[in-house]
Amino acid sequence: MSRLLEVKDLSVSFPTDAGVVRATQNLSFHLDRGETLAIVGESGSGKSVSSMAIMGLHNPGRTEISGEINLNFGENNLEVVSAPEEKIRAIRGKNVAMIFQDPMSSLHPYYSIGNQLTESWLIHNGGNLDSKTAKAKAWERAVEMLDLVGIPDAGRRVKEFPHQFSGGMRQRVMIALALINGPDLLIADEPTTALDVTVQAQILGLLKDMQKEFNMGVILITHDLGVVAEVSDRINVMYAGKLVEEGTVDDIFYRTSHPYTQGLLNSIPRVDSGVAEKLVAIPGQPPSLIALPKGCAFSPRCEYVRQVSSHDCKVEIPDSIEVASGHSRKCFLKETYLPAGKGR
Amino acid sequence: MLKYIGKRAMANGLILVAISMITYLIFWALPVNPASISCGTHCTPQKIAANEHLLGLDVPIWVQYGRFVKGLVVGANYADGQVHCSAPSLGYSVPTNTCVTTLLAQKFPVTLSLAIGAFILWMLIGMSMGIVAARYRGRWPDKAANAFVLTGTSLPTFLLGLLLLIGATLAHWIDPITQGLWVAPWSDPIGFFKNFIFAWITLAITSAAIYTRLTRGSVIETSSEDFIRTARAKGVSEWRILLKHNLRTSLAPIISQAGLDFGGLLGGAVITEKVFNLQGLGNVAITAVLQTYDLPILVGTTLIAAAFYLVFNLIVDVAYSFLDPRVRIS
Repeated sequence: MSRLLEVKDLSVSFPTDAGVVRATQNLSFHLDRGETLAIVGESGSGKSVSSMAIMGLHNPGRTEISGEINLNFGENNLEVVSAPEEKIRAIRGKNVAMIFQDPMSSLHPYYSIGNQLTESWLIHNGGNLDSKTAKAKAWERAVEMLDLVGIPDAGRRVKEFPHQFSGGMRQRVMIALALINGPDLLIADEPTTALDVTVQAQILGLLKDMQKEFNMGVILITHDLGVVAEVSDRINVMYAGKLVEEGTVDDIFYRTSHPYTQGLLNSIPRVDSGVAEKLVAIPGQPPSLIALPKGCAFSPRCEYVRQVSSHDCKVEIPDSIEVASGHSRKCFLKETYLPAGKGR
Repeated sequence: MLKYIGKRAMANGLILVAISMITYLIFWALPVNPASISCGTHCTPQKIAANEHLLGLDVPIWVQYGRFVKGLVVGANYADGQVHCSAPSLGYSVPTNTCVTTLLAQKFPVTLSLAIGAFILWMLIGMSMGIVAARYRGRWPDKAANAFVLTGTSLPTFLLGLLLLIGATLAHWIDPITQGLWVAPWSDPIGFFKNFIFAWITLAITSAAIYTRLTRGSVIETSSEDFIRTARAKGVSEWRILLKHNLRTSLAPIISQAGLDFGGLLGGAVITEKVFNLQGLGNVAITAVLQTYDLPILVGTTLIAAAFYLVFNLIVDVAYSFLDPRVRIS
C-alpha cells in the first residue's frame, strides 16, 4: 500500500531583490493514514513553507520549487509540484485541508459561519452552487459539523458571524470548516498558538478525536514541544530549512541525537523536576535564509563543534545518518545520543 | 439605527447653519458692492442707495441673515415688497429676477443627470480596471491600467472637455448651437444622451483613473489577509475569491470615497458644465460669482452643495453597517 503523503527532495525558494531565500532544502518525509507527524522548529525554519507547498498554495510567479509531493487518496493520486492549478484546487479543501494559527483573522469577518462552511461543502459536492436543494443539504451538513466539533446550540450559532465567537470557539469553527468534506490529510499550522492554555488542551483533544473519526493523516506544525509530546507519533525537527532530526516521540525526547533538538528540549520549562531550574536558551540567532552559513547551518550556535574531530562542521554539510530504525539525524558527532540536558 | 440617523441629521443641520453664516460673512467682507454693479455708466450715489435697498443690503449683516433664515422657514417678500417667494425660500435673485429656490430647482435636473451618468461610468470603468489590475498584478493588464491612471489623473478636465467638444463638433456628432439646451430624457432620449455623453466622459475619465488606483490598492491589501488564504485552502477559485471574499472587504474605502464624490458632484461641476454649456448648478454659481455678485444664489448653491455632501456622508456610514456585520448599529 502506498503512503498517504510522500515528500521527496522538496526545495522551496523565493527569489527576492536581496537574494534567494532558501526556505526549505531537500526535504523528504512521509505520512500514513491515522498517523500524526509533528514538524517542529523555530520561526523561519521552513515548517509553514513546506506545508503550504503540500497544499499547492505557493505563488507560482514568485516561488521556485523542486522535488516531489506525492499524495495518494486511493482512487486519485496527485503529484502536487507538477500538477496544474485546477487539479490541486479540486483536492484542496476536499482531500487535503488546513487549519491556521490565528482563528481571529482566518475567518471572513463579513460572512456568517454557515455561509463559510457551506461554501466549502458546495464547491466540492454541490455541483450547482445556487441550487436550493444543494444549499439546504450544505446547511444541514454545516450544523452537523459544528455539533461534531463541540459548539453548543449549533443550529442557532451557524447563522452568527465570527466576531460573535470566542477564540477557542472560532478555532473549533475553523476545524469544522477544514473537516466538512472529510479530508484524508489535515495540516494544522500552529493550531493552538493563539489560544489560552486551557483552551489549547481542548483543541488538541478535539483534533485527536477528529483524526479517529475521519482516519486522517495529520501534520502538526508547531514550536511548542509540549503540544508535540501530547498528540504526535513522529517528529521532524527542522532548522534553517532542513530536516535535522526525525524519529518517534520517544526517540526525540529520550534518545535525543542532534544538538539542536537537545537545545530545544532544554529550553522548555519543566514542572516535574521539583527544584526551580534555570532555562537554558540556545545562544545566538537562527541564520538568515538568504546567506546560510557554510557547512552545518547550526554550527555557529552549536556547543559540540569542538568535539567533532572527524569533520569540520563549519565547512562540511552533514548527511542524514540513521542512528536507529526510523530515527535519523544530520550531525557529525561521534556520540549517538546526547545527554538529556543540564540539570535534568 | 433610526436614533443614530436622527442624531447625525441634527449635527448636519448645525453644520449647514454654520456654512450659511460663513458664506454671508465672506460675501460681506468682499471689497465689491453688488449695488454698484447693476448701476450702469451714469451712476449716482442715490442710484446705488436705491439698488442697495432693492437688494436688501441697506440693513446690517445680522438683519440680512435673520431675513434669510425667516425666508427659509416661512417665506418672504423681496425687492421692496414687489416679489414673494414661498418657503423654503433661499432668497430672491434680482439680476435673474427669480426666486432662488425656483431657479435652483430648475437647474438641478441638469446637474443630477450629469452627476448620475458620470458616476455610473467612472465606477464601472474604475472598479473593473482596478479589479483586473489587482488580479494580474505586475503583468500587462496591470501596466495598462497604470498607464491609464497616470494619463487620466494628469489630464485637466478643461483640456479633455474642450478636446472632446471640438472633436465631437467637427465629427458632427453634436450641434454646437443646441448643445446644452435641456431636453428631458423621457421626451427625447437620444437628444438627452447626445447632450450629456461627452460631459460624462470628461468627468468620468479623471475619476475613473482615481478609482482604478483606489480599487487596485484596496484589493491587493485585502488579498494578503488570512481569510483569503483560508478561502484558497478551501479550494475556492481565484475569481470567486476576488469577487466574493476580497471585494466585499475592499469595498469599504471605495464606497466612502464614492459617496463623498457623488455628493460633491451634485453641488455642480463648474468646469464641465461651462465647457459643454450645460445649465446646471455649477454654471449658475459661476455666473453669480464672476458677473453679478448675486449673494442669494451663492448662498443657495453653497448650501445645496454642502447639504448633498453631508447627506451622502451619512448614507456612506449607514451603508458601512450593511457591509460589515461588526459595525451594525442596533
